Amino acid sequence: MKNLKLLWLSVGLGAILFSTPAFPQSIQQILDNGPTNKRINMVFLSEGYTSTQLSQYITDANSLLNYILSVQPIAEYQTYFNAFAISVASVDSGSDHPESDIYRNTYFNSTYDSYGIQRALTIPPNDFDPVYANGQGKVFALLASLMPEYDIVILIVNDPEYGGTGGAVAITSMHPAAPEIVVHEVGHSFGYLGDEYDYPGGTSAENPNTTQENRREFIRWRTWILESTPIPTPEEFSYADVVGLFEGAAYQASGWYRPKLDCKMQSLFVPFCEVCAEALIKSKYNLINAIDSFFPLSGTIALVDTDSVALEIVPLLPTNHQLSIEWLINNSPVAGANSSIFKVYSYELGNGSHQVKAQVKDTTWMVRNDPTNFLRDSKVWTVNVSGLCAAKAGDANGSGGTPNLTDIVYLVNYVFKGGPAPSPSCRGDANASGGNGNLTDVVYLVNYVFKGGPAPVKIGVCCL
Amino acid sequence: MTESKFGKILSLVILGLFFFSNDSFSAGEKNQSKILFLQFKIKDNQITLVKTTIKPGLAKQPASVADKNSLYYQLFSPSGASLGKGSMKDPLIQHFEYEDPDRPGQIKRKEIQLKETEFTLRIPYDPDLQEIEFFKLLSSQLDPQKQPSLPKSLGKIKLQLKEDNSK
Repeated sequence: MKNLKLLWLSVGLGAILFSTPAFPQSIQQILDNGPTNKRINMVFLSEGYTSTQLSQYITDANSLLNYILSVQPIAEYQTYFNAFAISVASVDSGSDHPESDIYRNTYFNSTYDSYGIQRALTIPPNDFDPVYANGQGKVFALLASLMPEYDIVILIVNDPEYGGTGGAVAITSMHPAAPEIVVHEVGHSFGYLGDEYDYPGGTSAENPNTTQENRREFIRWRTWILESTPIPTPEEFSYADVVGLFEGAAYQASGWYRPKLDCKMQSLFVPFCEVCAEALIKSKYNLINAIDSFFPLSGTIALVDTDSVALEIVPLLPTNHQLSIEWLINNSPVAGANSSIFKVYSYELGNGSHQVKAQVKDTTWMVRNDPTNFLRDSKVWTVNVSGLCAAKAGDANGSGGTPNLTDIVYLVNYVFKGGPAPSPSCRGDANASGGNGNLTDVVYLVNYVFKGGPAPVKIGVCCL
Repeated sequence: MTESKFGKILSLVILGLFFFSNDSFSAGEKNQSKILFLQFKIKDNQITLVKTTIKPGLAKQPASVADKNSLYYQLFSPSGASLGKGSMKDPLIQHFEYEDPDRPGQIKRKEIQLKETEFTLRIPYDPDLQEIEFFKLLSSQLDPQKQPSLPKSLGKIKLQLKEDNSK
């Protein structure tokens, strides 16, 4: 019996030890601007926070988020982003500092001093721990489990010493200046921007902001370059505010060029230049659509007779400007139709199949070069109109409006004096008896117009 | 234009034509409703599958960016039909950027060539997906004096995909 109790205790302990994760994980949304499939999802992960420090981590994640969202052009498009904080506790607080012989037991096994660089803060695989599963593997496992729709990933290391690195996962310490490298990294991972510095260490490549091309007419960012700006552009302070072609970029001091004297892709603590900002904006629209939602959801709408339908789109809403809206019927713009709701009437379209398109465009001044129309989005509905009234019963002379004396005169003229026939014939067939109109139709119309008799009857392509 | 520069440009054109001419992933495929995580191990240009995970969600696919160091991949159905192509940074080349301690505000970069590592590839899930083939320009192909050629296949890998409905 005693042995049985011990067995159950062991089983119980085992259940506790092996069923409860050593590091409970949770995710909290800290910025909600819409569904994850329609927003750019920024995900933060905690490193070197003990379980009692995780509330501080949420505060830190919010601070870093606000910092990133304050940087243009991200600031103008902050409503395009969601943000999530994945919390996982570490046994110890902080990070490893091997050069100072300080080692901490942290969830992602982060470390300073990577590859002999004191402020290179990395997670495995690195020179201290080559095992992917101890660092980046854990990041991607958590992302797959908790936020598979991630777009930007940032690891926050709870250590006050300056440090951070870019790469597959952007890493930053809690030093106040450290987030700058994260924003620079967002330029790489999100805007596909190249490094503009000439310090060696990478593979030079053509990017939105780096090029070997030095002929003005072929420069990728030529729309930003004033005619008066010399090419190549001298590295002089007088050209600090203009876009040009400055030599030195992509890890090369010569033969490679950048758009501006200085930019966040070259140095920290400066803004993104115009060309990099443009690339970042285009990248947003490469991931998400400018039309956030639309109604009706069905792409095909049937209108019968005099039906109408209200088509609606909801465009994304940047911080300080609105996206332009245009409506087109069969590819022809509808003058003055630029609101989010557009009412379509069958009689405006006519019987048949029609394409009604809502076209949305971001006309921001921050983008001048968009040959592939990243900043444009559209939604097309096919509107099929049938049974539309082609003519009005009793409107014998086709003048429109309610049948009156002139229609009676027209019909009398046709029936008795060989005048022109009503066209289509149903115009004269007021009592819907068939044919083009005869005495009975004249009587019927007189009765309707002068004596309050029944209205002309719908027949054929004629309606009421 | 020098011969080596011409060779480089031609290489990139060939890469572009080979990998992005028709069925590469693009923003047009925004309606996938499941995401596939593929974890691989790479060593000596041999790639082996470690783990697959399928999760609900939409994997937004940004435009592929390729350079001579990229790792390219192509996806195949059981009949051998191509289901898509893409590229990623070579996982064996890690780079780190950090602020230069001697020049505040200036960025330095270090590139590390690993001998082996693991990596995770995230793509939209396709129930027809059965194989993935990786390609890479080998170092011998990067010689600008030689004629540019297509990346070499690192072999096809069979994927046994089972849906994981856990969230």
